[in-house]
Amino acid sequence: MSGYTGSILWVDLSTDTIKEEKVSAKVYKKVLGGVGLGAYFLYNHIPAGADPLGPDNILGFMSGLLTGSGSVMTGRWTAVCKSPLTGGWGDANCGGNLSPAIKRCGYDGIFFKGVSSVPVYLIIDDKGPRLKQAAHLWGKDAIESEEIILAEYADENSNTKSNKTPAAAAVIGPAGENRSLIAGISNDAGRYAARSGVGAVMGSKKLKGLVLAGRKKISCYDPAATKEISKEYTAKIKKQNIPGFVRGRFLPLLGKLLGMKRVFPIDGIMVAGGFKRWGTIFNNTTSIVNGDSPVKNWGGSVVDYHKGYYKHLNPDYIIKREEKKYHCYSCVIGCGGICRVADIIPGTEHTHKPEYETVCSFGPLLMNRNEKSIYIINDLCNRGGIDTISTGSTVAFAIECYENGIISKKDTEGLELCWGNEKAIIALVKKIIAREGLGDLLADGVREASRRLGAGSGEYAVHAGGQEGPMHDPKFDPLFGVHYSVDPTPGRHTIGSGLYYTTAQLWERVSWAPKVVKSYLKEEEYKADEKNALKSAANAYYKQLVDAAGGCLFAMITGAQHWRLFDYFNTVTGWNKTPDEYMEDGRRIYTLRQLFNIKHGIEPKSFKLHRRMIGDPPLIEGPLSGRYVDIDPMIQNHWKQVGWDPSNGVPLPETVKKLALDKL
Amino acid sequence: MIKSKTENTLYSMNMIKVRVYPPPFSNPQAIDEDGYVELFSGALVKDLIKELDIPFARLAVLLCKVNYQKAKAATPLQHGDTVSFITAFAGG
Repeated sequence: MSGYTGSILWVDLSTDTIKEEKVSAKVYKKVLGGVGLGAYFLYNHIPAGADPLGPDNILGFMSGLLTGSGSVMTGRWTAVCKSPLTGGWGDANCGGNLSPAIKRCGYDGIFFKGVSSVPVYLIIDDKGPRLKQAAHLWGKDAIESEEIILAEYADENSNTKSNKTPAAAAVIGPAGENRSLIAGISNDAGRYAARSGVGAVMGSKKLKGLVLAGRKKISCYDPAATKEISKEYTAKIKKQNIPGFVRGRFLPLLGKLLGMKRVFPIDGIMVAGGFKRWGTIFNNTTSIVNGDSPVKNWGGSVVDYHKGYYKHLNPDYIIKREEKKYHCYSCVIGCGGICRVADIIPGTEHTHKPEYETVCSFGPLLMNRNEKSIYIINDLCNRGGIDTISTGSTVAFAIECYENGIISKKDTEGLELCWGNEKAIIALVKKIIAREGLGDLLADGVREASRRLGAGSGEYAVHAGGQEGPMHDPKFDPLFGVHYSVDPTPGRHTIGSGLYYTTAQLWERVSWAPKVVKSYLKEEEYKADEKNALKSAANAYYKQLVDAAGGCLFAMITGAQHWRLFDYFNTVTGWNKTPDEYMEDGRRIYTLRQLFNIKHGIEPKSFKLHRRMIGDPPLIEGPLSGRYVDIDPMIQNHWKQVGWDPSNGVPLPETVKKLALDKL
Repeated sequence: MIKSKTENTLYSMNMIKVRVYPPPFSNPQAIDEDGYVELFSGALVKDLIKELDIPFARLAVLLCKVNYQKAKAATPLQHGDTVSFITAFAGG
């Protein structure tokens, strides 16, 4: 038993019973850990047709197989459940310090089923797991709640032997308590497992939080070999810095190069310098100029959100406010930051540096040029416990409904919901978190809001399979669109794209992954051909491995020959599998998540992209003008490539058998 | 170390091969199907940039790394080196 603990914990909130379950080594060999282990248990334990907000749904907190092993960039945990937002498989992952804390408690995953009669939180430490009343926390924001439960735990244990590693906690905010379908789960004071509506599931169970303070050792098969890989990678990352002369104001120029007619191969590790200096916000201005950033609810372009607007999002301005950079557990890049906002948000000294997805969701997507408002909204969402991508998209939907007479000023209670009206946007975000007035309609995302509103509002509800689209436009990189549609959790940007494929350089390790070593014409990315299907399959399988490991997307982007995930698996577990064999494990996890959807009545074809995401009709202005992604044949090719029925996306019986999923 | 026939041939011709991740505007014809560029033995970074027809050569040098270390125009290249350029990205 190396890498994994061999145990999971079941907490039945309906009966207040807690029990440990041993997990066979065979299971780990097939589904590894993290999202794979979560899929294994949820597929087997959630009955078909279960209400996502009812007692039959299960919410899992999964650590990664490699977390705590001495590997680097492997400190992420994953929330797994049946998603109330999409009706199918739901997962969302997050960094910070929770993932190793789960393992130090002696578990690879903690699963909650049932519904508590009163608000509770779970504590696990040397005394074992136990539930505690949380009525006094109900209604409090996520950051304050985390502070309180950690302080309460410290007070209770002030006489016990000190723990060198501080306790870690995860909580929900009011949005989760209110069962907003776009609510997330917070840890490390405002980092989020944001997507899939995982916070609503936690709220529906009346589970306010977890405090994890275990001290068990995490095992590793070959610590010296693992350390050696980490050392080599860390040394490379240390050397990757953006030269001083490359200022934020130059980024639009670099962004335009990405949108050229020829695509040039990228050595992924070269991207690390940008993450180190700015974090994800380097995208703010690189992505707006080439069309990657959606504008005006996916109906506009950089012609609308021109330099007069986007210059305010220069990442240099944001890092001027950054007082401290921070790293997640085992991270050697450090893309996170804490910004000083006392002059913007009265009574609040600091908040997390906003991520690109947040900046774009509340900037270009809403035609908002007031950068200060983005700090305010980011802090509101972090405290309220809600996904910034989905919330920004829902506000964009509301603005278009207002401008087209579907929502009236009476509905908005006087708010003038116009593009770029930051005061109205802030007020609406508060309403969504609190489910007040119009906010109640919008708190469940755009699909549900348009269903309830009717009156043709579906035209403005940009989503894929119920989940609001991320801030990367498939018209710029069509493989984003394929993954937004085919992934069992639709509408998210962390699975794959043409660029991710190029930088991850899987062909260096995987025998069947097509090489991208020469420049090629951008138009090739829009073709429904075998090469693109192989790329999307490789993206999908590899990302399952990353999520099973507890790995970071940004490590994946730096390249498989640098961040040696396949080697890590072997040095940590002693399994000695080949990269091709691990990719088959990734395919197994991917297919298991899809089988979960089939079991719960999801028709994969229903995970369609909103037509604006594919250019139907095409934009008439901007860098993506005239572009249309003929996505259906690309999706069918992907399904065929991964062994799912190309006509409907259901895994074929022979695929299920080949992956031994019939025996799991 | 036993060298492959191709490598032996290259050495006998005083040629080297370096793995290149080319920047935008470079000449795709200069790179072979495996992503390598053939140069004469003793070639420097500036020779590679010339071979790739990269405009704004001085800027390209500032963004260039050899084996993931900072490079200069006069940095010598060895057989098997990796040459990369800092670039933009969209994602995350």
